[in-house]
Amino acid sequence: MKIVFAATGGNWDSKVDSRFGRAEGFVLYDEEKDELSWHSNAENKAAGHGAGVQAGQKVVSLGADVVVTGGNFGPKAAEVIQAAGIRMIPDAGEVTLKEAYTKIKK
Amino acid sequence: MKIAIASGKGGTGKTTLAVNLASYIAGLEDVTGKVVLVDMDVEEPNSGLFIKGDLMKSEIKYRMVPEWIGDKCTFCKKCAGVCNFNALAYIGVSVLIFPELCHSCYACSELCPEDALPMKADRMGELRHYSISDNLHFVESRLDIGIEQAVPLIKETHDFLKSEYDESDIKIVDSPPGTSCPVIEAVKDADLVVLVTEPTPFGLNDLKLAVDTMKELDKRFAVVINRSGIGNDEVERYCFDNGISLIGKIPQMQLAAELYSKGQLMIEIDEIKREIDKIWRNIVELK
Repeated sequence: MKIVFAATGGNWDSKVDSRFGRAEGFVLYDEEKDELSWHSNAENKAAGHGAGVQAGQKVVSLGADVVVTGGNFGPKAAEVIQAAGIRMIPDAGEVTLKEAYTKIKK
Repeated sequence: MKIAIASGKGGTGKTTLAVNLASYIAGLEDVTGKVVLVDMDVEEPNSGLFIKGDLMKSEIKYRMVPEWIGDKCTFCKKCAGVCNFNALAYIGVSVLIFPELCHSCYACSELCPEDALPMKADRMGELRHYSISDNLHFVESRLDIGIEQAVPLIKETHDFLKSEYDESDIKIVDSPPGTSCPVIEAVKDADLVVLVTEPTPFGLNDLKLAVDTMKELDKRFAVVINRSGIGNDEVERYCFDNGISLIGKIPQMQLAAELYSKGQLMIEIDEIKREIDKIWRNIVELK
């Protein structure tokens, strides 16, 4: 399974970002390969419009099965993610990626 | 002649000045031709609260947005890449369109090699055309609830004015507040922009933003102070120091507020009528 976290940094101790469309970036965790990778969201963070759409598209292109954010998904981001059939987990809170991952696994 | 009434700050008295000025001018003997009050604050038009008349015409307004034809699409992703407003999302199995983000630029539609994104009409609001008296007309455009973009409807309203009225007719445009796209569209072909402010620190701060905007647009503009008597004299000093024409001061009066609260015009008050007259004479001189 591939899990994407909206995150403020690229390692397990980084915090889950409470924003989605304008998150600092996205961390992709590929469970099979046990690999963590960082994907900056800088271009959307500064976008005037449609940050949610772009961020959603990015998560889709990363091939996520599940996407996690600390707060809520915006309506447009949610539409994109839903259309791609990805499971959304909002409200992870201000926790580290490790903590969020452990919680999901439970 | 087109005069736009604008402001940086909201709630300073754009509508108050626009409705009273238009009504006043329409009653003048030396004004020939029609006077048209135009409410271009399409997100929340309120001139109509102060001015009543007979509805002559109502038109539903549309804008063009792309429609995705899945059967024709080869998923080349050109459309999503070319959209400056992130209004399209490619998600592997389909292309999603977000009409609320679309600026009707046609780029995706024109550049699609498969003709899979034809443009279709999407309702955005309504324009209403009223006759108030023999020589006073009123045009009001109103965006539908949930429509995010004001500019296309303001553009349509300008086009309507062009088709219905002569150059010589006097158009008084009640603009949206602020300094962003809707204001810029509303004032774009005005001969003069009248910036309404109140004599307070907030009023001055936002007036400066509006002045910067007008300078950037290379627009001729002048300032009117509403609720003169409250606050301080910083706005006047700012206008004087920067060589900006201050063409009138509408006094703060309890009676004016009472009339306003009942949806009535303030030119019933002599003191205010005289000031509106002065503002009008100054506009004629400046435009």
